Amino acid sequence: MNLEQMLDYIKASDKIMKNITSWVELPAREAVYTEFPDFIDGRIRAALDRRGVRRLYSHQASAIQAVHDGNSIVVVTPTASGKTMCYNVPVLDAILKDEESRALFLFPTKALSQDQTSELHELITEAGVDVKTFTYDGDTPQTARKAIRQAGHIVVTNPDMLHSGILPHHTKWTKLFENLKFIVIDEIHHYRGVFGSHLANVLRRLRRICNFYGSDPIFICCSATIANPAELASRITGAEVKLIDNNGAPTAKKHIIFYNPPLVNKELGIRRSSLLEAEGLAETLIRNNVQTIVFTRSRLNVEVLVTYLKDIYHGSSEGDRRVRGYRGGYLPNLRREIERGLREGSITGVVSTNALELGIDIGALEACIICGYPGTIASTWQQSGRAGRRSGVSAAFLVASSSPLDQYIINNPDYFFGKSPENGLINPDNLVILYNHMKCAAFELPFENGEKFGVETTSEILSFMEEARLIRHVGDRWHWMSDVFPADEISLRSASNENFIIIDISEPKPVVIGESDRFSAPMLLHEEAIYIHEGVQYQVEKLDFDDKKAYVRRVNVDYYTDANLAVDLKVIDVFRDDTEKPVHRSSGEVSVSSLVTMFKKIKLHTHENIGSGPVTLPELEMHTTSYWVSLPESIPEMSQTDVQNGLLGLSNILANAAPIYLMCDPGDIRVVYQVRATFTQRPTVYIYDSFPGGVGFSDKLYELHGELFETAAGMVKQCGCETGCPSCVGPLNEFTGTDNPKELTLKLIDLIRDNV
Amino acid sequence: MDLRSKLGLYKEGAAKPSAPLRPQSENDIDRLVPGYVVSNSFGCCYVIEQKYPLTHIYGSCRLGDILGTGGDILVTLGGEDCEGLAPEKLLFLDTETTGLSGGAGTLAFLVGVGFFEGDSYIVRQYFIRDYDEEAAMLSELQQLFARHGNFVTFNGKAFDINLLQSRFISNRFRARFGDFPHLDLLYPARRVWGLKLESCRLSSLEENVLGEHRTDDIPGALIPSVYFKYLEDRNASDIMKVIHHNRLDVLSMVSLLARLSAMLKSPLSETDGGFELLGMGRLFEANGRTEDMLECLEACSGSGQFDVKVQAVKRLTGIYKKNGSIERALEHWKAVEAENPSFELFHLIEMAKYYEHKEKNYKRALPIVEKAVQKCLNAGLGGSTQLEELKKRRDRIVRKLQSQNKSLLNQ
Repeated sequence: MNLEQMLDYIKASDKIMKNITSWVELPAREAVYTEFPDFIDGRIRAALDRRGVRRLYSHQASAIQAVHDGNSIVVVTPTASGKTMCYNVPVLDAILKDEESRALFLFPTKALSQDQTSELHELITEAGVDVKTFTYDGDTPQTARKAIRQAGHIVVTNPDMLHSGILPHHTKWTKLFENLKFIVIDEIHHYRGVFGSHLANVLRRLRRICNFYGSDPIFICCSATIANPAELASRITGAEVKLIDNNGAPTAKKHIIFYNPPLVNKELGIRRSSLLEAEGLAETLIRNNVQTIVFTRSRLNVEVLVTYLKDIYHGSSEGDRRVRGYRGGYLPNLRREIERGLREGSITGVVSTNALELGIDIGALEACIICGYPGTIASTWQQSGRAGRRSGVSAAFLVASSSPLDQYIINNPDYFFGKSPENGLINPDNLVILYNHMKCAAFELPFENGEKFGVETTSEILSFMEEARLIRHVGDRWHWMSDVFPADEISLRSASNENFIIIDISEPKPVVIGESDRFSAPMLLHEEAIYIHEGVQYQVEKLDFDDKKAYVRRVNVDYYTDANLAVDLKVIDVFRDDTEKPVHRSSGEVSVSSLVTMFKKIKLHTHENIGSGPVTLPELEMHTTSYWVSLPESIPEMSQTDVQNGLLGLSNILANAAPIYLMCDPGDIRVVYQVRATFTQRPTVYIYDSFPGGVGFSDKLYELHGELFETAAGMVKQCGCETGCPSCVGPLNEFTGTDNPKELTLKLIDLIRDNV
Repeated sequence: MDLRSKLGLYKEGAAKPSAPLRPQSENDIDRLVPGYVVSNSFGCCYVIEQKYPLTHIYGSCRLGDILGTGGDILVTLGGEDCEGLAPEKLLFLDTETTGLSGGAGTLAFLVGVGFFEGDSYIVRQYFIRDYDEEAAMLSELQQLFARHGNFVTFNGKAFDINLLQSRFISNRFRARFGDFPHLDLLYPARRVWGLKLESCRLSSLEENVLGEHRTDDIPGALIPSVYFKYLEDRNASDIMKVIHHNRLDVLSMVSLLARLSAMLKSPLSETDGGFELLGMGRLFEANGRTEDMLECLEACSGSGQFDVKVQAVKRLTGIYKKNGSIERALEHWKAVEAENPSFELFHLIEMAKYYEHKEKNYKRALPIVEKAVQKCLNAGLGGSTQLEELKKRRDRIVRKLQSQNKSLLNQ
């Protein structure tokens, strides 16, 4: 069966159709064309002409014109709409008009930059012009670096390399910085939260250096569809940015299918596992040779699903070749091999985390299964765009998990297909991030008296830095005064730059098989944890916490492990609060200590708990921002136990309701409750940013207070269960007492809503 | 909570009581190290100057010795850039910096230069007493660089000159001295002494080659923190050590150049006749001076040090094989064999090859291979690829010998 026959088969099957909550057929769309503007160099025109491009899509023309007029822009278009032309053409044209012009291209990952520039290379070769494009990243050989610094017209890199390899050595890049005309930032919506806050500061440093060399580049950004692309682009670049969103690219027909796994226990609201349902769908597709990508939410699920899907081939080695996993933590060579296999068609099924969501070239797949809502609408569209990039019918299935957010989306398709409500949020003034980048900036060029680095309090921070003996104020300047190379101490990707490496000691010769960040290590790599890599199970034998090494050995067991995190939270400072009514809301700064105390062994397939063990690892402490709501000390008709159960339900529901507004992963925020909080002396629920210093979520939640609890109420009420379930207020076995947890939670929510 | 306490929270233990900005000290630089302040339109900095007569001896050379150095020697040491350089115009340079890893935020707080003027060798050291004196120092250096138009350094290509260029750019000086002739002594020193010494750092060369022993020398890694401490307390007693260290570096570069130049003039008499001479061979080789290289290697092949002899013979016979003087190569292999070395095999293999392929004298080749096989076994190399290859060679020679005998019989 081909894909269309399979879709007909599904439509005819009541068994499947009863689980489908929405089936939208996006019709094919005609292209909207505009002629090339006259100013474009004839050689570019001719080269494009030879490749069959005779006119521009409307958005491409708008972008090229806006850049020509000297505007910074952000182009918002779907996957496969020819967005690279929006920057390749104006940049090449400017270089052909003035040979001295330089441009810097930033891509979020190395893999992506390799891919996107191959298109640029083709265009340059086709045009027969001498424009030198080089990739400058950690893989660039030392011997080639000097030539790139001096001769490269277009330097392609990533934010990390810009941060630690280019800006601190700007005196070696004088040619680039004196003539920098364009900075291209692709996938700008990707830079949210911590990464985005870091990038905004890296660009503050970049602009400072450009200013020193007398250049003033404009920014060409590309974004997926979000509510505030221009705002986000302007927050990140610090420049005024013009929005280009008149998409003129054609699209082929596409089916978007929402699939809700059937309830298996109505009273408890338990649905069949989304993983197993996704597996079923994927199996049908892969068996019929429909090239399929399955996205899952976690690395763990990638591995579990790969293991299941390989069974299609009855344990033959064909399964190992045809079905592959793909995720962060795999080493680069393995990733390249898998990407190639997908393009060439030797791989029929791939299970991936969002690592394959961005535009890495894996060719045109026919079907996409998204196992669990990826957390944002933008991601969902990008993931579904992996099927049918070029032409022909394609299908994307969204399989909901029983989490409240998934259930909300799957039952409210309008929210998905309507105008995007999602905001990309960053906090460039996060004190931890800002302070670290000011160190780098001071290293790069002395600060002048009165100079502003993004914030009004720049000079106050500089004085602090001077007291810390990092800089020295002499005359009217602040000079770096340390033999430390500050950029080395910061990772743009995470709150900590100290990754743990994972070493397989099954064979006499140990092999490094992956890595993990510091804050995840206690959860994933505690001793006795089952770590799954490429579908193979390993047990952690020893975790050397000080040296950041985990030693693992191959095992074959029928369970996986899941660690429990205990959290303690203290309020340090209150930024805003509203205490007029009996229910108070606040936002401020908190200190959170987290400790992994124990782990559970969960049986594969049935997911039952079959044992547990203790974990003894150091406590990790973090200062961050939080939003919290506190209730009156005594609530009518509710006992202490009732309040505790209500707070627990409330925490579970909020953890899923908040991300709707924040465009973040549920893991980017955390919710804890205290029945009698040390700080407020009242029953309190806290939602905090799970990054040191916070990235702007808490403040937004303080403002969205009312809407947040409306949505929470809807989620609880909409759920089909009777007394509560993991899809709304949480698993029943977490609650104590005899009262209905769902009702208790709703009572608290209503109390809060009455006091908004 | 105010910004300050928040910052304190994130950066534990950062805040210390702040010291007065420019404290007075009894032991400031002008009290401890005699010098003078030089001023220009960019401000001023501190200069320490010491004159040495040309007869001053450092590292067993007179400083003036290098004045007679021929231009060809400078080219051999520094490459073609150094063609036409006059020894009396050389500018020796060494910097002390605020960091060892480079980058735009690292600066040179002490720049020592050495040059000849009249009957003296002058070591002049520019010291900045604070960051705001850097521009004045760079301006002085700019003029000095323009006057000399060259550099002699030790590892200056990778470090000192790069760093100064970065500082000039950061201070908006448009000085371009990146393409000045630059004799970086590190590279010839590595060629010459890399075989003999474990380390080719300047301090190691000074001790092992020049015979100077520094006392109370300050380790390089501590230098940045010495300067930061000086900025805070204006007590120059440790800076004094850094200045001394830098001055000796500028002196020892002269002496090192003199040493190298003497060795280049008469390699046979001026080297130890062992690894140094072999190193001279490498230096000549890198410069395409084949005749001189062969002379050094031939001398080494007669060395009493067996390691030197073997390395020289390997290199020499490699060349002889290529240029058709295989008989000369054979002499050398035989000479090695004459010493009956217990472990060395290469000469036996080479001789076997020679007899097998060149002379087709299988009778002579066979016992040589058998000896090599036996040696391998004695050395406990049973099962090694080397042994396997030797056995293959032996079997082949045996076969060839048999078929030769047969065809002899058939005739």
